[in-house]
Parts: sequence; C-alpha cells; structure tokens
Amino acid sequence: MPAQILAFLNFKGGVAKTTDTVNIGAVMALHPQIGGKRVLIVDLDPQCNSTLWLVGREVYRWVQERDQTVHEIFRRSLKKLKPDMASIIHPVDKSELSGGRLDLLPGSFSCLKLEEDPKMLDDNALGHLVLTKALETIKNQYDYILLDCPPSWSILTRNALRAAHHVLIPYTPDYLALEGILWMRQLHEEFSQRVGIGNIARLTGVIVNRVRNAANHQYVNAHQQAITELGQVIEQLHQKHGYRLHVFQPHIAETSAVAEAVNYQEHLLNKDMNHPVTRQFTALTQDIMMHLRILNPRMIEAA
Amino acid sequence: MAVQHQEVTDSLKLQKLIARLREAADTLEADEPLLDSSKVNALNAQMEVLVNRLNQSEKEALTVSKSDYLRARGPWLEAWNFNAAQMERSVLFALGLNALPKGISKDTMSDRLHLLSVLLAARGLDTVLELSKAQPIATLGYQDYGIAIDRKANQALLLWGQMPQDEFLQKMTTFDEQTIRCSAKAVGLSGAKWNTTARRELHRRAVRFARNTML
Repeated sequence: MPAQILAFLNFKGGVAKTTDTVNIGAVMALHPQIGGKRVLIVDLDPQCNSTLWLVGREVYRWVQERDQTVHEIFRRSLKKLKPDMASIIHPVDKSELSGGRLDLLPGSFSCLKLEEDPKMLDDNALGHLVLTKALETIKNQYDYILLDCPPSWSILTRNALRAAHHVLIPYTPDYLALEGILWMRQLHEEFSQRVGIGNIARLTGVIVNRVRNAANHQYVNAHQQAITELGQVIEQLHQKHGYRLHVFQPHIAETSAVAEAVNYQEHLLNKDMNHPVTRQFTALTQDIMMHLRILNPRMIEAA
Repeated sequence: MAVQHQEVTDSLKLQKLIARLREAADTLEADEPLLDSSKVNALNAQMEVLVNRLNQSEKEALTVSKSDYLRARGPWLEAWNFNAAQMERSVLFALGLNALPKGISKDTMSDRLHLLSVLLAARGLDTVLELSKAQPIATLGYQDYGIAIDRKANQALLLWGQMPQDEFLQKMTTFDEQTIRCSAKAVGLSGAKWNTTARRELHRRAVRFARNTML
C-alpha cells in the first residue's frame, strides 16, 4: 500500500515542527511496541534542522557538497530529468525488534534559490508538482513519508501541499502560533481554489507543543487560556469555513530533554525511551496513527 | 542493611512488573482491532500472569483485577486529560490524603495509571468510574475536535470581552455564578475570591480572548 504522506507545517517559526517530525517519525519506525513502520523524513526546510539533527554535521556537509539532497530533485526537474531517489535517500536507523526503519531525504540551503527561477514559479509549468512526481517513484517503499516544511509560503511549501495527504500543524500555546493557523487556513483555501479543490493536502490536525506543567502558576494560567483560544478558533474554523481540525493528544510538555536530544543528535527514543516526554510522543504518535486510520479505512484493510 | 537491600530489590521488581503490565495494556488497547486473535490471546495471557505476580508481590495485599483495570483505564485517562486538577482533588479526597505521595505527579501518564491501580485496590471499580465521569458542565467538543470546548463559557467571554470594563464590573453581580466560574477556569483563573482585582483580571482576559479569537 502506498505511503501516507504527512506535512508538518505552520507559518510561525519555533513551534517545534522539526521536533515533532523527527520524534514522531522515530516512534513510527522504531518503537518496540507501536513502531515497525517504514518511514521517510523529507527535510524541505532550507535550515536543514531535521538533517542536522538526524545525521550530524559531517554527513550534512558531505551530502551538501555532492547535492545528494532534496535540492537535487528540483535541479533535475528544471532540466526535465528524473531524480535518482536511491542515491539521495540516506538510512538513519532501523530496529531489529520492531522491523521498522527510518530514512532521511536531506535538506539543502540551496533550495532558498529555487524561488529565483521563473520556471519554478509558473503554475503552468507545474513547478509545485516536482515533489509529488519524485515521491511517486518510492511511495510503495514506505508506510509513512513525513515532510518537515519551512515556516513560509514558498515553492517548497506548495510542493508539500500538493504531495501530502494530510497537514499536521504544530502549535505552541501563544497568540502568534494561533495566527499562524489562521494564515494557513487562508493560504490553503486560496491555493486550493487555484489548483483545484481536492488536489492538495487536507488540514487534518493540530499538535500542541511546549506546554508548561503546574510548577509555575503564572505560566499555567497563560497556557490554559491559549488552549481555550485554540479550541474556540478550531470550532469557528469548522463552523465558518468547513475546516475540521483535530487536536491530537497528549499535549507535549516543555522540557529540556528535547534540547538535550538535539545536542546529542539523537531522537528521544534513542536518547531516553522512558522519559515522560518520550512517552508523550509515543502516545501522540498512537493517536495520530489511529486518527489517520479512521480517515483512511483502506489502511485498516491493508493491515 | 540486608533488609534495606531486599526492600529496594523488591520495590524495583514491583516497578518493573507494573511497567510491563502497562506496556501490555497499551498495546492491547491501541492495536487490538489490528492484531490477529493469537496475538490478542497471547497479550491477554501475559497480562493475566503479570497481574497475578503483581498481586503476590504487593506487600500491602492490594488486589487489582485485569478486567477492572482495563475497564477503568480509558475513562480514567480521558478524565485526567480533560481536567487534571479536578481529578487530583477527587483522588486525594477518595484516598484521604492531603497531597500526592512524593515522586508522584498528576501530569504524567505513568503516575496517573499508578494512581488508578491504587484507587482500584482501595475503593473499587465503581468509585473509579464515578470519579472518571466528573466533568465540568456544558463542556462539548472533546469528541468532535479532540479538545474540550466549553461553549457557554466561550460565549460569555466573547460577550464580556467586548464590554467596557466599567460596564462589566457593574453587571458582573448579575451574572450566573457557574458561568463566571467556568469562564474564569477557561482563562486560567481560579476565581476563588472575586475581589475587584480578580474581576478586573477576568475582564482583561476576556478582552484578550475576544480579540485573539475573532476571525
């Protein structure tokens, strides 16, 4: 069965898009109980945070020098050539226990220059279908393909929206991240009208990150109101615009364990499997997978 | 020294048993529709063994049946996700405690499940199910959007947030007490003492709510 393609997207930066992409991908692939899936992470963000986190600086520089990155797909597309996906996908980790594997299609800062090429921006030339065509050749090799998207409206974002089935929106409880959701809804609607309704990913759900625990009452108060505001906005998006977003559970706590995992260039499952935030990511991943099964009954039949 | 070492060892064994039981319950709960019957039977058998060993190991003779645990687990976790502070208060009252034991937090799933086991053993399934039902009034949306939405509170906040402060303070005495309480909780206020400062704070947060959520 072809892979479910999930885009992690919010136009607000710093809402833990990369944290969610990397750790949810790791749980899907490598968790001893609920893992076992074949997962590919595609780093579409020119900041290349997913790449640096998963493979480290040396490998990152090595692939940049040889352009064995997502940029290669776009570069070859401009020359009307097909990409050699096998040469640019890198294995990251695999689990003998669960039978799953985690691969990476590295990002590239060279993608920043894609916007300068008029061929990429011309809708008629279908510059936003480059990723779709490339993933078409490998989608049967994976169960899930996760797209770590840049926090901007760019050719990469449009490619992600055309390629993906679902958009998951990482959110931190504050007003600016809430505005990011509203911008996404607006741009999603405009883009959908341009390319045809049903031809882009569905806005499926929200992942709440960086929730502070009860230690500091001032912050608990602020976060509680932000969550209430999120609920109100989500209900209004459904009633006024027909967008039904699901808020996945549990909410991920603010913790230094995530930064520690980044510093050690390991995902949380490797760094500390029994840490409370790792358990939260496990439960969150379960919720996401169950929700996707409800939305796509064919997945249950295939399993 | 030898007795202490034995107690520590016993405690670690107990923790491992509990952890294994939870893992098996998680797998069964999450994947039961997708597993074949032999795998489901194997998991059930594993849990039976673990529960029996747990019952034998527990020094204070706590007994928790597997069926009670599985029956209570879902509503219990949902109730905690929805209102952890309320559940903490209910659990403390049910157990006759002033505070949670050291090392137990109301914010982690594993500790919430530990409290489930303790309460099931101490007060039985009916009490646990009753506690798990306790929800604030007029809360909707959890099934629809995965997040609790108190529509009545939200509507009140929208209305109050568009009033000038003087008008709000003047009219607050006429508002329904439950609406005030639910709305205050929705914006993170305890609302225990409604002095002038607290009322101004509630209005300030209502203004913020109205401003941030108007589409």
